[in-house]
Amino acid sequence: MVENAPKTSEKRFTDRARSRSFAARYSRRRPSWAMTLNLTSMVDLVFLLLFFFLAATRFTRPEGMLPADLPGKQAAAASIEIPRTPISIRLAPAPGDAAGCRLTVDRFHPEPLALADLARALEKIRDEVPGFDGRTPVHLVAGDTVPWDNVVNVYNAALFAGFERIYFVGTRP
Amino acid sequence: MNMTPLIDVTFLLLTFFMLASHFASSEKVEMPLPRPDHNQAVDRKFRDRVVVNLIFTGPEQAPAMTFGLVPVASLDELSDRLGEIAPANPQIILRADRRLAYGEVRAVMELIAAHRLTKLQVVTELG
Repeated sequence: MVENAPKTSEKRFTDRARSRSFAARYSRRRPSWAMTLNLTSMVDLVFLLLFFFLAATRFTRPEGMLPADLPGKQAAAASIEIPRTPISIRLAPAPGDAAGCRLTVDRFHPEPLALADLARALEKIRDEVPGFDGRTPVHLVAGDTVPWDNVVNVYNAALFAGFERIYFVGTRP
Repeated sequence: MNMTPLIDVTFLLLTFFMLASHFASSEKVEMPLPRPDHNQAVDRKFRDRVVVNLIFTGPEQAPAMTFGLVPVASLDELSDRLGEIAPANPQIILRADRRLAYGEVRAVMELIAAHRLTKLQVVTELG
């Protein structure tokens, strides 16, 4: 006979207490006083912002435009200005050259000129040579096999030097 | 006052218009464009414009062309298309690959001038 064994009523009480503490410890139901954080709206906003910036980002390289207006019929007829001596920039193909072409300026630079120096040379003509200014026509005479990149470079250099009237002129082989 | 739906809708509209503008620029074919030193080109937006793409296909080969989004097979076809838009005289945005020879681009420029289209913009890379 075991002396320490509890009586039936006592046993029931201890069992109930034990099961209550177990429920309190491992229950999935949150107590009423606990704080909850709703993440749905935050995730919503984060995705929205992500989508917005993805849409806003430009993955292509930025581009610019050089105005190269072509002469129209009316413009030629209405011209009553005194004819000016144009500046002729010549671009000849030179496959062996690093730049891919040979650049000269009639009367001013008959010897080949580096593409990087052209803008300064044109600025000098505009500012220092009498009878030449920004309204002086610039003729861009390029051979058909000259790379388009070089032609645009020369056109841009003339614009940089402050010339307003630049014309593309072609030479047949 | 609950502002959440308002902000939600505003962002949605903003995104929609940004995406729509991206689709509008799909007529710009990916290609290496000229990169001049001291670039004087500026990023401009024109309402009335037509983009002409000249795409490098290989040395000593005729370039591929597009008129807006439409591929063009020959200079004659391009001439027909230019003739159709000539009365409106829109801005012609000329996007030519930097590897092309000047003669190939000049042929197109002569066509543009022949149709009395006087507003030409040469596209370059910025930066």
